[in-house]
Amino acid sequence: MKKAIDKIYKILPHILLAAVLASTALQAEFPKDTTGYISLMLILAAVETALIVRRKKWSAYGISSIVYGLILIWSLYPVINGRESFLFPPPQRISAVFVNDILVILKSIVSSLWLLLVSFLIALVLGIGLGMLCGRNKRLQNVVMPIARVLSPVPALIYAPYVVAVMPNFTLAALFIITSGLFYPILINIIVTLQHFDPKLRDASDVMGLGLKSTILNIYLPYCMPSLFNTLAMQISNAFLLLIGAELMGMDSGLGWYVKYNSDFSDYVRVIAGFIVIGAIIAVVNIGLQRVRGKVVLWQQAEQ
Amino acid sequence: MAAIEFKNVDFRYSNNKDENILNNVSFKIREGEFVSIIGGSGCGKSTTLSLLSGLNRASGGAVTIDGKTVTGPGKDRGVVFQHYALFPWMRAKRNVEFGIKQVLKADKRTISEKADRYLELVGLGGKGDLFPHQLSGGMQQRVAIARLLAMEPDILLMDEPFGAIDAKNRVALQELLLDLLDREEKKRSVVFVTHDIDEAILLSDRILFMRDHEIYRDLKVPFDRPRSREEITASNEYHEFRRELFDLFYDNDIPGQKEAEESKRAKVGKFSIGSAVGAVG
Repeated sequence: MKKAIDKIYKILPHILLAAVLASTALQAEFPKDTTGYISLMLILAAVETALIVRRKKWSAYGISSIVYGLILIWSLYPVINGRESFLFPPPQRISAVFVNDILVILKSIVSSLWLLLVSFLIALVLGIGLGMLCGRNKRLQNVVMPIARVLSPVPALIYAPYVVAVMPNFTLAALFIITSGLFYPILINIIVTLQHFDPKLRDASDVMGLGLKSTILNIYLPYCMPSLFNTLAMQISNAFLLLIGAELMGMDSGLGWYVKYNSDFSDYVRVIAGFIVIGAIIAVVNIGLQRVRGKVVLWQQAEQ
Repeated sequence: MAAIEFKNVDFRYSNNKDENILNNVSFKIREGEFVSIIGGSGCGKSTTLSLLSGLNRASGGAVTIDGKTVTGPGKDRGVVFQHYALFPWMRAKRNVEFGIKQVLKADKRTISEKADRYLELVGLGGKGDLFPHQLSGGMQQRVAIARLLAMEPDILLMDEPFGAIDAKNRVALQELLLDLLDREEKKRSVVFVTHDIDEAILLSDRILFMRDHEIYRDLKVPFDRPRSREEITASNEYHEFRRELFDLFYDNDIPGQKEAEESKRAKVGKFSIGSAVGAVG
């Protein structure tokens, strides 16, 4: 029985793929909207390749089945409905956007990631730097921590109207908002981690007579890395929320701008394509972060 | 080399000024001497060591090294703790290299070679790429000893370094330490805190017995160096000296406990030193 279930589980994604191909081929517009269909086929081929490459991973079959299943329901919706929905366009229309708008989308991705990267770097440098100094200096910590606890719960987007008025341009305003949204969680994380610094390691580093620079770089920083990465992983979605919010303020590029601009024209095909790109980018950034974490905190994985 | 002096030293924590952790403690340790501090739990052994390491400062009196008052940690002193205290994010070799870098300004290759040499010396050649958590407790303590010796401090401070290690590895590490110190040209002063009477006799030139936050007895170990465990444990002198220390430990203690420990000891046999009855305190 279990063997039969396993076999079905392994075959299911391929059956669903065949169903998707059949349903799209049977639709009236095929092959008029060639770009849409070809791009959809490319997406399906990418999912199928990923499944074949990772076929040893049991979860790959489940994930592929869900992806194919959703595309199948999506592509069958206009057939069942009798006509295409304005708010729920079929997948081939969305996939066509990825080909037709490729340059705009790439430009938007670069613009958003640049904004995100610069903000992350500034927030990291400021948050880690001040956090480390607070970890070393109890008096400074007693001053900074209450202020951080009051300011950190205030959503950074609240500042938007004021920041736009104060800053010379939208880019700087967006940078400020994203940075301030990321700064407090990083700062608080570092301070709290150092508040619970292992006393055994403190003794070991103290008896070595390390200077401030060496203590921060060789002891405090690696000690904080695991919890810092956990915080960063949690803040990625928050960062994108801030990014999109900041881009909506008046930027003329970026993924947030792309979604907002097209929704102003009720172009929901492009709006949905924008959602998918944002989701994919967040996933890729998260995977990248996990990879970096794996390299940086290799010692903790060894510990586990 | 360095001479150590405690002169009428008192210590109490700032949040509990009524209770003295150390009370008018005075002793001297000559250059190159190996001194063990033993005594029951809470008598002030580790506090004495922490004052010497500079992690704490005396509330009264003076702790001096070569006549200079100890005001904080210094590169002339190296410490090995019971809990290994290796940095978990550094591989074994990097832990040793990091220690060397604090005291030696040299190129990477010299530091790397020195770290390899000391890891080899403690029997961990080829294990340098492992993280501390991939090593057993005994191995971690070997790395800590390699780091300590590689830093070449004048004074070695060891706070129950083998206290958390199983009996077999403890004996091996005691032998290793004895061998390393005997082989070294540079004679270092060693202050060694332990609960283990046999360990103290095997390793030390002198034993300071602490009780009630004071130095209660200062005893010279009646064996010359270099010494071997087999030779000294075969002598009557060893058993008499051991008995003297044992009586000190259990003087005024819980009725019946001394007899119970003696009976347990008789079952274990006289050659299983440093194992079953090690932790008497």
